[in-house]
Amino acid sequence: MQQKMTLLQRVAAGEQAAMRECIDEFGGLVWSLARRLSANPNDAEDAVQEVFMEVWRFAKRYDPDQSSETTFVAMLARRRLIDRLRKHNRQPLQESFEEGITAAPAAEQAAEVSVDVRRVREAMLQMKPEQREAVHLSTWLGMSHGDIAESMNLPLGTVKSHIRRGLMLIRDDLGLSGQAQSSETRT
Amino acid sequence: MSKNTEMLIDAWIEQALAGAEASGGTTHDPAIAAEALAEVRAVSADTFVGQIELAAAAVLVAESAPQEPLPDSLRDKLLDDARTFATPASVTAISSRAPQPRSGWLQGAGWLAAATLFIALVWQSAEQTPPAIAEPTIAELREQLSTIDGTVTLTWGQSELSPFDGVRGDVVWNNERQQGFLRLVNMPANNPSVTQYQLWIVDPERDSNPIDGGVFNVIAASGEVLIPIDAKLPVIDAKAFAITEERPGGVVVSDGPLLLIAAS
Repeated sequence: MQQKMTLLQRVAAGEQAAMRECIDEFGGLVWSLARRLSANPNDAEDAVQEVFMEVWRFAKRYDPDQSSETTFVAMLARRRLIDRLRKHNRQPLQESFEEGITAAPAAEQAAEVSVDVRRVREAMLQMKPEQREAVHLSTWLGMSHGDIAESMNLPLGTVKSHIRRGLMLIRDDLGLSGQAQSSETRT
Repeated sequence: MSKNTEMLIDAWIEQALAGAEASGGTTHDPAIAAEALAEVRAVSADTFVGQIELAAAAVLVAESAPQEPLPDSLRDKLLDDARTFATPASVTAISSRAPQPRSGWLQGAGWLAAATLFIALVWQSAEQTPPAIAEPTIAELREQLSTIDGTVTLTWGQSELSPFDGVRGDVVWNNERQQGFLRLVNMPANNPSVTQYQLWIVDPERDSNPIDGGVFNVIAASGEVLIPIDAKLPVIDAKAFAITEERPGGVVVSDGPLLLIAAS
């Protein structure tokens, strides 16, 4: 029996209606990421346009066995946004760059949250604050281990260990490695 | 886990997350690489790097809530961009079926009006299945890309390494389309079970490390071969292309030597 094509597979096949659906499905996510990682709203708009061009170009690379479509689009967005930050040597909007997760907003607790989001939040909340901050800086800003160590005033080895363990745990919790949910300690 | 293994894993992670900022070194010591891959339970470094990138992206998704709605004006721009992006493919579809000579068809002004009408009809009838169209060959795709604004053609310089010193050809690349093709004449064949050729894209705007452009094989007595470029990362401004010979599946970082170089 033929599997139904995913939205990104339909985009890769050249289906123009799928491109519209893609904008509606992921536009909010990409816009939210761009707002947080751009110096101003105009930059954020340009960034969103660039990100979606990446989506059109690389939709053919999406593998449903590797990740959700949301995660794949977020990966493309992250690459482009960090590139822009580096190229323009700009800082993200500071007021929107608070500590990532402290607790799920009350409104969200009742709302439908994907399993992936829930797992990542659980993993992050169980990390010690120092590890969570290191993971947060490396994922959001693409800072090198050395820059994070300097920023957090921590030994380089500690930062590397925090990030390695934290991200591999998230990787395993999401099944990205093909492994079952890990029972490793968080730190 | 040995110290060297840990360093290699950390270098992979930093490459996945920081790209241009990665400062860790990598090693091609097969034993250390094998131990590292076993430690992270991945079949290859590229696979592990991809998994870490996805994990990082998942963190962003989880931390981006609550999401802001996309502004209507921006949505309209994205829809326009999508239509524009779809345009070259539609033109290709028309030209592959056109009875007129290709050069006249593509260069004449009439194709634009026909293409615009075609796009309007397909866009508005979203439920309609597009007509079946014969897939263009790689040679046709390369030729069409060559005619698009912004496409550059770089010739392979003569290699100083035998038996690559007799190789000729060029690279066609369009940055906007993120698409390109290698043309290689007299390229020695490789044994895919032992080595594969790997393309590297030099992009100083992006990174001090070249971008992996994909691996490929050359079958014996191929004459001229055309290879589509498969850039693993978005290319900002390609300045040069290089080919190395690596283990099957390719490598994350090459030790060289550079067999062929095409530079602007």
